[in-house]
Amino acid sequence: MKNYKKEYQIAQLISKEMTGGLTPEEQIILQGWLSKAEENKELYKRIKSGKNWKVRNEYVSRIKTGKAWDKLKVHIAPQRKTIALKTWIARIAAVLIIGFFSGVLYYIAKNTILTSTQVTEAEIQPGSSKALLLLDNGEAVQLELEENDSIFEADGTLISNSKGQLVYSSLNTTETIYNVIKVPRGGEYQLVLSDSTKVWLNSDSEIKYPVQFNQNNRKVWVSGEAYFDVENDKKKPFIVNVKDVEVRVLGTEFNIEAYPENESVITTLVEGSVKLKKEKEELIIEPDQQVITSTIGEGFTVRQVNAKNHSLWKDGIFYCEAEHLSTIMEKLSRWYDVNIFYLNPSLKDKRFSVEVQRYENIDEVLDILSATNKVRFEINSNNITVME
Amino acid sequence: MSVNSAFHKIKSGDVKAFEELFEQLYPSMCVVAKSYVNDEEVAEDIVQEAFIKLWNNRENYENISSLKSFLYVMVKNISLNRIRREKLDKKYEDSVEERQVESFGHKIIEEETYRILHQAIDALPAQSKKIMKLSLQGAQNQEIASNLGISINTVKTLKYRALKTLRVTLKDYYFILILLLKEIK
Repeated sequence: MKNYKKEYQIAQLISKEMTGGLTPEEQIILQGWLSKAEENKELYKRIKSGKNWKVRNEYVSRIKTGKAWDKLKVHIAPQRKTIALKTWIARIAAVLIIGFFSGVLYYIAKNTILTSTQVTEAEIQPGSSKALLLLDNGEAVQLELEENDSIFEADGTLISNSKGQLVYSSLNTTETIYNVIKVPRGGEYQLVLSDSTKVWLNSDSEIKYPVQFNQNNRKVWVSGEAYFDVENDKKKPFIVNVKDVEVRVLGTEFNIEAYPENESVITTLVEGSVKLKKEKEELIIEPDQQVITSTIGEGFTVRQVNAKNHSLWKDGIFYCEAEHLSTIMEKLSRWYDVNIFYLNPSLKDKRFSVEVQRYENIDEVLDILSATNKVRFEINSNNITVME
Repeated sequence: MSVNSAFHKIKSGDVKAFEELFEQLYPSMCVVAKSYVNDEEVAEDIVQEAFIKLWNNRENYENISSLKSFLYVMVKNISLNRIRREKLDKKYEDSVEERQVESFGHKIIEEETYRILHQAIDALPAQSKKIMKLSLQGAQNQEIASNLGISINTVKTLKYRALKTLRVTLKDYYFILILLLKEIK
């Protein structure tokens, strides 16, 4: 059978040409095809005039693809995989799915732009939901490319992935297997563990957790920044291991910030109570308290804060209150995936407050900062230079 | 790699992957079928049949573009069979067939171009999408502006930006050549 490769190529070239994106080499190929036959020229003119395109689109907009699929489905022999999926779904008590973003496709398209445009004309884009899931068997799944889909772990746990969020169903199993989620710079992701505990992961962060928790406790390992809304279970304490600190909770909401490049673990309690443990030292904190644990020094430093402000990132807000410029820029560099340079390093210690939408262009934040007249920025592709 | 994995999934009987393929190609196949039979209902019926045949023969093709070609050819053949069944006039039938065979490659080029543009434009924000659709249908900026009730400058700006985005989207080899946008698990 003929493969129609040439036809597919010409279609590509014409569509590229119509948006003005043809390279000189492609121009030559298209010209060659055009000069080959008078009919080719006629076809080309017809496509470019847009007449048929209009009629075609009117028809296409009337087509009900979903309905047609339902009709077709009946004629396709059911596969084992589908049956298994349905049986499992029936067994699951409750699976919560919260939409995070609409227009995932738009983001995918946007991401493609970032990778393929010349660096000089690339605009700095805010982060979006993206993450890499590492399954127990070592398989890696790029989550942002998966829409509304389900994955089975080896022990039979159903993992549902939908628009920026991953949900684990609860199941009684004896063996413990682990999954890891890695969120890159410029990303964020949401996760619902098998005990219904919700976890928000910020850019450049990682979490390791058992697919099903064991009988005694619920242990996870974190690096970077994460917000936990822990499901209450008095019999099974929830334990977050972060660097050399152990955060032990029963049911509560709190934020943990512990990037490898910083020598600290910052735990901010929003609700409930948590117990921190580092080597032999222990400390119980109350809501609106923030504990800074240094990995090089000893002990805990406690301060009173408005805890909600420290977890606003998960609600799409970039918030800093009287923070060092270096801290602010570090956060920006993770979310927008940019590099920061200081012309004058003493600027790092200046303090600023800022509150903006996280999904805005980076200019929004930089404009607010420069409005103070204390600092200026120069953007050159993915590099930002901080100046006086 | 992602495209290959989608293709292998269809080959090994993954209904979900097949649905993805169906969603992307169904409208185009209807357009081609309709160009033969000139009846929307009959056209959609033909395409159903073609997809069932594609599913039943899924083990026989080598790559995703041969799969697409299989579908196009199948739609053409079923369409011609239907015409043959209905039009008993032998002469008429021959001439239809000859004419169609000659331009089948052109039909593919035309529909593929529309499908590619449609798919790329669909990923744009709502307003830009409307503007680009009208523009590629041959409408002038002024016409688009009054049609959508916005200023001509807005049209120009959005169009400029949309074209920039489209150029990048269309540069993507996978998007364009192989049609399956994302990996299917």
